[in-house]
Amino acid sequence: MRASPRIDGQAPDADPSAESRVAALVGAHFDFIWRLLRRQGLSPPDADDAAQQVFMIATQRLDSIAPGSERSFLYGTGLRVAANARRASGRRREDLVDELDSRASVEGAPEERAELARAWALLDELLGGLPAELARVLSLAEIEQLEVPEIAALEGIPVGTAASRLRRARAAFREALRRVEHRNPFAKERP
Amino acid sequence: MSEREPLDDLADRLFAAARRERPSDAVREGALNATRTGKVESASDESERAAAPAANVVSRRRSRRPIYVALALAAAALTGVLLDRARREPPVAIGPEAPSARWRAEATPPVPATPELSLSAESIPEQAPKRALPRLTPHESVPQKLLPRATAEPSPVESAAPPRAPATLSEEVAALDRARSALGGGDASTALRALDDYDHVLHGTRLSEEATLLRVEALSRSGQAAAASRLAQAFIRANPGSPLAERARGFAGSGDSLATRVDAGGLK
Repeated sequence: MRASPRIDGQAPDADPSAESRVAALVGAHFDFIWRLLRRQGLSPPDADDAAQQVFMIATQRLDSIAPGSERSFLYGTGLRVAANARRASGRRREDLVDELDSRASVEGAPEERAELARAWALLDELLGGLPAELARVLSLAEIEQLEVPEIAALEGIPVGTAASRLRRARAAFREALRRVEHRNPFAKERP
Repeated sequence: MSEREPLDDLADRLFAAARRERPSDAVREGALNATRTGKVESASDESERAAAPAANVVSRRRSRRPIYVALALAAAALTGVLLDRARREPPVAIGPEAPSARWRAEATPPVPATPELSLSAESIPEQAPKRALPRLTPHESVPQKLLPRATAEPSPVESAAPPRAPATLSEEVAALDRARSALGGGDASTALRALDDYDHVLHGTRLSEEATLLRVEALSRSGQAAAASRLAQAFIRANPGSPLAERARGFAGSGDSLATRVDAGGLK
């Protein structure tokens, strides 16, 4: 079924079932999409905007999203929105990792938040150094803890290819991490 | 099996840290509201932005947005006032004793009021339009009959009008839906016109990758296999890591139709 275009920022159909479906989408997938956008190199404020854009697009195309394929739709849309956002800011993914935003999205003591912020920055740096397709599968496996078939479905690739990419991604990540091991963000500073 | 090293523990901790990162409730709620109202909202409260010490491009852009809106609305309103007065009153000499009138005259560019001046926050540019990749120009790739209507001789009113306000997301989505619908109905010409509108009239940026792949298919279906192949190759070069590039790769050399993939929901 085709999506009925809604022009000029009109709200989606005043259909309670559509509204509840959108609410369910946001509830179930917003954090996943937001983290995806962050791992694509967007700063937290950029990820906020981009995530909203992703769900706006999903809302406008709700009719064309088959039940059960919502996450796949959001994932593909999220990647495209992230790419556009990076182009709009005129920077590449790896250029953005230094833009450490200290507005941690978690509660905790200042030391813990600082530790987390350093960890996120290092992780982004490492993922930014990997080929994009490897960074994506690694993030899905290790951060979102998805199984290989789920990753394959999201990426639109065969399961064997996904498994192979994940192996290569893990090896490449390990190698990259070895080179920056001395920057362990969790290491306690010696007096 | 290799033995587990401290390095693996560090990797695990990094990934665990990433899992702890999540958007604030206010951002999530803002997104939900945006989907209800159909209007893009500031994803988080301005005061929260101000509390964030790290400045960034988006924050600066957002902080300027109200100024743009206010200036645009003021210009539109004053233009309307001036035009209205010009219609009803004879010209009045503006001297030093009429500072407000002088300010109005300086502040309002000599353009006619047009519907485009009814701006909303949504229509303020969030980003300078940039191209995903060098697009084929209509002259290069599209038959003359498919050129967008915008290339027709503009009327004097049109030529005096200010540049079109940036397209809203809904307009971009609608243009691509028109293209997809036309392709679904086998009408490649209409699809190309919709895509020309997207590129040259709307200056769409948010869905440019999808628009490019739709153009590949439309070109292919309209018998321009070579142009479709060139565009697909350019897309792959510009977006080598994109999942869409992966799908386009199979068509870059052959000029095959993407129809089956579109129909199967491959292009969302």
